[in-house]
Amino acid sequence: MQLNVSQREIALKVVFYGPPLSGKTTNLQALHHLLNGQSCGRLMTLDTADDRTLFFDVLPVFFKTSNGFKIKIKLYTVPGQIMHASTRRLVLEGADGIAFIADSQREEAKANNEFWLSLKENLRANKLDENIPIVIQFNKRDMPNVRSDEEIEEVRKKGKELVYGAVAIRGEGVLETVEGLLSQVWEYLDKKHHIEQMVKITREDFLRRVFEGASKPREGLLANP
Amino acid sequence: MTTSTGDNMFTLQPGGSVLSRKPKLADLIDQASFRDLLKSFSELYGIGVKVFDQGGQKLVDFRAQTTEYCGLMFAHYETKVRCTKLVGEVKSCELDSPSPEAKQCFSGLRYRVGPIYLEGDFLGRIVYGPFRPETLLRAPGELQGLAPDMKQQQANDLLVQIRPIAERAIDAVVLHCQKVVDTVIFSGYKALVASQMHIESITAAYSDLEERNRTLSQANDKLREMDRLKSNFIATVSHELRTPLTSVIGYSEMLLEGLAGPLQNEQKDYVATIMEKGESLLQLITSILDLSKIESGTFKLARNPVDISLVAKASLTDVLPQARKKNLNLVSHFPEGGQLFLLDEEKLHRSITNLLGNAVKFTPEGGTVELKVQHFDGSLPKESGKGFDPFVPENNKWLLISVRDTGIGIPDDKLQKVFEPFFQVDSSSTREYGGTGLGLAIVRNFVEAHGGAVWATSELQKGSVFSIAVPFSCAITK
Repeated sequence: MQLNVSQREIALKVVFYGPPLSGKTTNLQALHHLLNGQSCGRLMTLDTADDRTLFFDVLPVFFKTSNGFKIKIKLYTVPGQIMHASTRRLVLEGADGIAFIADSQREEAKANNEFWLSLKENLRANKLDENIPIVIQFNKRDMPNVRSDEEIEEVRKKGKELVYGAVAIRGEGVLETVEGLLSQVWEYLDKKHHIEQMVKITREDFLRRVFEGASKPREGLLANP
Repeated sequence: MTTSTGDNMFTLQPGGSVLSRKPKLADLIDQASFRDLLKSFSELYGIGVKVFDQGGQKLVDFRAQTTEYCGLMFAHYETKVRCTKLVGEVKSCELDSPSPEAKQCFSGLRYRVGPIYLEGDFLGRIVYGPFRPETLLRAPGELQGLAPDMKQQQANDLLVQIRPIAERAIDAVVLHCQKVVDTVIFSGYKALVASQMHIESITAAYSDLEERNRTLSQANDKLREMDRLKSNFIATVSHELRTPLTSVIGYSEMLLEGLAGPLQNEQKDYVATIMEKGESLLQLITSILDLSKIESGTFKLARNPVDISLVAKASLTDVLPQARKKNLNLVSHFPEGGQLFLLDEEKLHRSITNLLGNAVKFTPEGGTVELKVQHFDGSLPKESGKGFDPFVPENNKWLLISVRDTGIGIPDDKLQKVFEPFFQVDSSSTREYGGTGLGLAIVRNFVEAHGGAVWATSELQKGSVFSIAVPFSCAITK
């Protein structure tokens, strides 16, 4: 979190982390389409000619509280390809919360696991708090040969992270994932820095302001923007 | 958490990533191009444009048609004061909404002030105007009250020279310009972030590689040390094995010679076998000892004046019994003159014997083994790894010792490898020819220690030629 007292500004950083092609950028694109244009800035994509993320994508979401405090949330994706390990670490620097985007397809279990371990390693390397809020999204629920709902329920029960299912390309589960994460981030920062007292806004109001006016997921959300 | 109280969010992290920095307007635009863009806008619509950054610094200033009318206002004290106040307000008023704000001037002219935002952060403002609204046909009557000596007619005359613009038209034009500038700023920001991220990620990758290099280098040092210890160990063990083995061979020899009384024929055969196998073992141990000395860097040349022809002849004598057993034809050529060279006689002798021994071993019955010693002046074949020296002619003079056989030959892809320790062309467990695979590795080290080279050429089923080149600089000039 970055806090600028004189300008009455708070900036939060949320990072979408996960294996290559799990749908991190798709999540951000869907979010860009679903969120209200008033509070959502342009989606910046730094990608290669073949649409693979080179450095990151970033979507800023911002609003002003009634007492004039500006709250900005910057949502980043990391590049998934193996060769960009150092960029992933750079993007993770100073994160306040992480959405781990896993691929539900069975054959991707190993890649999910490897990136989960690399996330933990990068958190240590960046000296980030090990209690930093993390939620897990199982994306591509519409694909064949995916882990069953029962298996995901099992993960939800056993792990300490919140778990969401999603079809990011249609926007399904995207808002829920971010809402779940931001809710935890707010609680975490309030515990650590008494953020509610500082900006005079409750967690419920914070979430309401971020998601007010958001539209519903739909088929072809990203195909016909 | 990063906390700051100044303008910039990264005050406490001056070296931080571009991701945590809040850019300034001037960082995101090429100022000359940005001015050109707004100049063409100003000329097209006939309105002045000014751009101020967040700190109020003016980056762009184009005036249009209003200069004389505004000059008249500035010529009178009260209107000048009001004008200055209004300009100050236009430059610094709070802009809460992303939509442009309208400002009315006492002169009847108007302004629009549009904010420049990036990700919701205020970067600066664009001031459009002053422009003359379409409804303003005459200079306002209250000007007379503010500046009694101002001539109304003159004010009207100057006013009508300014092209009037409809409010709706100005709103559309301003909106368009705001969008264009927004796009320019976003593109500039994207370019800035991309270029900074290139630098940051390469720097991070470089640090990662440096760290890995350090780890590898430490592992390498450890391995080298272990390799040195291993070579020392082998050298010690080989030395310790050799001492009792020499006694075994010595006593066998004495038994064979009858020094301990006569032996029966069968006993003689057994003792002879003990002696023969003992000598093979001694040879093997000597090879291992040599190689371990080479690897641990403890072997030294003992150079003395040597006549190569004599050394080569001695080597021929060494292999003569085996050659006779296989009924081989041994041929030799030596140079005339008995030139002396400063060389390690024992090592050279063993090298030549080794090449001859291999030739005898791999040549079938009735074949030929030819030893040739000659002086050579020129470029050695590329297999030798020795390049031609165009500048020092002496460096191209060699003493060449070659051993040609009519044996089974060596495949091309293995010609280099035969000089590596423990390498066998036929490494199968059922191989026909014995050997440890150490001989040629030792020869190469011995020859290279003299500044020479050793190489092989071969043709399958026809035979091979192994050559040793010793630099002529070793020659002793009489």
